[in-house]
Amino acid sequence: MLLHEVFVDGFRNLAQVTLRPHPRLTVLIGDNGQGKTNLLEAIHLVAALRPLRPVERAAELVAFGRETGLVRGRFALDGPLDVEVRLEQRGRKATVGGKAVRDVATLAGRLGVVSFVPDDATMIRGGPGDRRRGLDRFAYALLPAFAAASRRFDEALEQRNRLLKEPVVDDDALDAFTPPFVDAAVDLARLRAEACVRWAPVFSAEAHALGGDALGATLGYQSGCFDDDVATTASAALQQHLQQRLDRGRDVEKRKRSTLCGPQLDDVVVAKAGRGARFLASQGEARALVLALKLAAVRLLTEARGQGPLLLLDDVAGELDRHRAARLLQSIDEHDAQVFVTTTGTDTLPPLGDCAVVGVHDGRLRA
Amino acid sequence: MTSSPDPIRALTSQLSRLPGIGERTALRLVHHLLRQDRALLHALAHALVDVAEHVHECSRCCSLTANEGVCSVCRDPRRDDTVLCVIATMQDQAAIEATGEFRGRYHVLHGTLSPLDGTRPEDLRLQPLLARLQGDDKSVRELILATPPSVDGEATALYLAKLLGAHGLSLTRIASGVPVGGDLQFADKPTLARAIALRRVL
Ligand SMILES: [Zn+2]
Repeated sequence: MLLHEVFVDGFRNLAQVTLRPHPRLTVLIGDNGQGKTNLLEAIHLVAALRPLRPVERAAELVAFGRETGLVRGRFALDGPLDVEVRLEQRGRKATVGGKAVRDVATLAGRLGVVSFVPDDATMIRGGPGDRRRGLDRFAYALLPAFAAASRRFDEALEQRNRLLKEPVVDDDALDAFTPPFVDAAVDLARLRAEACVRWAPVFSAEAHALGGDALGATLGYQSGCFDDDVATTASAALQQHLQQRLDRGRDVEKRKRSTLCGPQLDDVVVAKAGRGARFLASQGEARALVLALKLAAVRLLTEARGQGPLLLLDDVAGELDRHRAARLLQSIDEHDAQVFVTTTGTDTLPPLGDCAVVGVHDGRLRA
Repeated sequence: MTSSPDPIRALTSQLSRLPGIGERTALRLVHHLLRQDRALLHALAHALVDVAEHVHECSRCCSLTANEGVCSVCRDPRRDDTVLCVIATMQDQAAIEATGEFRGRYHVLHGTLSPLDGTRPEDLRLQPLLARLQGDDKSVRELILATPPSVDGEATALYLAKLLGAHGLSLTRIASGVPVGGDLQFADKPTLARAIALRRVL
């Protein structure tokens, strides 16, 4: 068991809530709009140290009419670990045992979270941006270096794009910002490729075990800027390649006022045997493939950490049939994951086994 | 001095312009100050005026000093005139000084290039640097570019390297890599990759 207690104060519609989860499975039950998904988001925030869904400003997460919000989690990791995320109008601050967290990414990697939300179907049916975000969520949890690399790349890309949007582009400044961009781009691409190399075989195995719609599915990293195999080519060679492409494309970039080559164009290709590189999945196929992705993530994180992760399932009954939901619950016990499920009613779920059922109504809990 | 019609409000609005201080925090600070001995308020006001009137940029290295003309580091005759360390901020200078490892001279840029923050080359103390290298500091042989290893810091170092390329100086960049006392197997891949790429001859 990973999470012993979570305390929420002023997060979305939750006023003051203390939840003591079940070691195995906690079911949050309630009608739509009562706060069960908000509670799941609060748990994600304190365990992954970033929001479940992207938000423009931290203030969006703070309860209406409140200045600040707070989520506190008591974890067990080698020993007890108190993590607190304070939400303010201008941003969020994480502390562990009362001390500011220097390396948020490393801590989040140690806690380990896999989420499964209705939105995840975009990993299969959405555009490249959706698939990239899906890969990044997994890479955050699997690779401790990923968060810092991703942040550094975003910053380098923004700085470079800003230079390209100036009325008169300063070529010397663009020359100076290009190598740090290339550096960050190669680091990010290599980490994404590594995440895919580890995810792919386990995903195929899980898809095979699910059978039916998921049978024969494969996953692969598709670089937005490198022709070479990113996972096995030396960084220096990749850097040189990208630097040359950017130098050659400078005039076009200046016309388009944007960086046109780099991992901001990466993609993840989920394909099925005998159906070309891409295919249009039906709703049912998409759900089965997302489930295989998540089951693979849970297995890999468990292996990497030596302890089962937190698994957050938002409204899975709406997403999975009883057979697949049962497979998911079975996986929980195989991997010793601690699971949180939201649902509007337990009758749509398969037999749950040992668990706690907590009602969520109007931002409050009912045991 | 003429007094403002609403001194509490005036002070609150001045304090709330400081980084990390919002209107509410500013108001709390003002009320805290008002509960103190008035002598403390006068001492604080005096210290602010003193800083405003007497602290200026060193005419040689651009660090902030209350000395007439040049700062105490520039004044120190025991410093090595052949090595110049370029840093982004005075806090970075203090950190390097605290190591006791460096006995050369400094130059403070007062920032790093950042298109997003609107910091352009002309906002940094680059012209004073060029001027001193061509004037009083002709004996400089090596320039250590010690801007931070961030995106902006790297870009600033590269910009400087290009700008100073024709001056016949030896340009060096501070190293980054595996932390001292760290175990190689626990270093993250990008850091370890960088440490290998930037290896040195023994
Ligand atoms: Zn000086």
